[in-house]
Amino acid sequence: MPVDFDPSSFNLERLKTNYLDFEVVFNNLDSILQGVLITIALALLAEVLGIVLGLVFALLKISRSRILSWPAQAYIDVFRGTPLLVQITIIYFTTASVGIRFESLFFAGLVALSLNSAAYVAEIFRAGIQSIDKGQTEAGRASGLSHVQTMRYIIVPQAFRRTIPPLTNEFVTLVKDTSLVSVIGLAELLRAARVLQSETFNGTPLIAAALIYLAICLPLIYLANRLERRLNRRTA
Amino acid sequence: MRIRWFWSISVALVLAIALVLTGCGGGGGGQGGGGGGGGEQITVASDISYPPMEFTKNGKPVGFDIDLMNEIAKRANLQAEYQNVTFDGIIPGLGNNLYDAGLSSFTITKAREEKVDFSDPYFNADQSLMVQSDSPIKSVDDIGDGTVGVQLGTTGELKAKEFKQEGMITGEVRTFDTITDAFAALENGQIEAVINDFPVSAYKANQSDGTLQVVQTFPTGEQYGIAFPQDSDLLEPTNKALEEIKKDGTYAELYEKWLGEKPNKIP
Repeated sequence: MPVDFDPSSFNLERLKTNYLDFEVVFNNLDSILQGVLITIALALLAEVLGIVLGLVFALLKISRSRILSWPAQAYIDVFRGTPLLVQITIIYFTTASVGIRFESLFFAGLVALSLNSAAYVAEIFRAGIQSIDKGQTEAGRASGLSHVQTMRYIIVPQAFRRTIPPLTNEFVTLVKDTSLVSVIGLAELLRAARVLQSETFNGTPLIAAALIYLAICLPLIYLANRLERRLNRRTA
Repeated sequence: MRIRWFWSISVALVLAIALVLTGCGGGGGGQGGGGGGGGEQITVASDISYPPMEFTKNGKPVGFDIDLMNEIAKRANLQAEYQNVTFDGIIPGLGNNLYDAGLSSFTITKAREEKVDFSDPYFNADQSLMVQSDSPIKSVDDIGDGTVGVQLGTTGELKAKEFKQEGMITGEVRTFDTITDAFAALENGQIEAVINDFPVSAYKANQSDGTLQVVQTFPTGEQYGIAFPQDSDLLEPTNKALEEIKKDGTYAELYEKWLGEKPNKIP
């Protein structure tokens, strides 16, 4: 049997001392809080960079010129089709061999997360732009605006509003994905928790980290749901 | 037509899951590659990325520790099944009865002994400082605010943090999941030095075509032991087998096989 349940080794006391001894965390709050700050800063900056890059890639992808759309498509495919953990490892460990050196681990992690996020955000924007009724484009063009002007003043602003709920969800994903950057040694929340675990041989820091991630993400998830409902009501 | 598709996919999925659950995939879990006697099977947790002590060759765990454990298992009529895990999770895992033993070049320390039981010592080690061969760093006093890489949860990490507390180094102490990652970062010039167990760093320096160098050793007198959950009944047969292995020359043989020299002193 791959899973073996042995009732005789059921030990609630052990679970409590090894995983629910929050004193371990409170006695070392500094390192955990520092990890929280790094996690939040990383996710926020990566979201901003991801939105800027993602919008560029989305516009390139829906462009009618193959020379523009094809590289954007290739970029999106590569970053959506490979695990982020693999991307982080490759970006950090191989760039040194080609002469690129990240002065800080934070920056290396930020680059990897932003490039990854850009691919997902591009798809969100593309869907948003294509969801705008064709009549809007036609109306824009009929009133004498050029294709670019129509996009700039009519389509993108409307599309952007529709993308706010999925962008919020993408931010939630980013917050959780920052934990993957711990493989290169950045002391974000997960690594801070693991360092504390290795010092105390106690698993409570991991539980605390999970609760902190939850405290950051849950409000955002509910916010995204509300925004989505409001948007649906308005457009219905 | 659609419904038929749905059913055939569902049936295939259920079959696949059933196959996995009943273990028809064969070969047991984890890293596999067991060894030793034919008796009771025990799960041995190890961070198998620490050559020459424990590493993989053709996907199989090999190294001094692995040979030693297999020899102990043979004599104690056990079957060791290795599970490749991150180093920092082994002691908490043992405390939680996740594994039967931890074999990962564990230095016997007071703090660890509060959580697990150790076998008698089986290896003498020291800490060491490794840098790139053309580095200006010749000893710990030259590191200054340079970044020092260590493996999470090791005595190397403790040593580096001790240096930092004493103000001998002022830069970051960066923790990596495996020593292999720390070595890679050192080779890439992403960190300035690595503090780690001497035999493993020396082995790495030897294999590096002269690009890496151990410039200083810190004689800590630390010794490795095999870790067990507290009050494990494997402790006694392990110690008995270990004593035989040390006495009958098997230990010296294994040591020479993996460390390339005769042991100075058998612990």
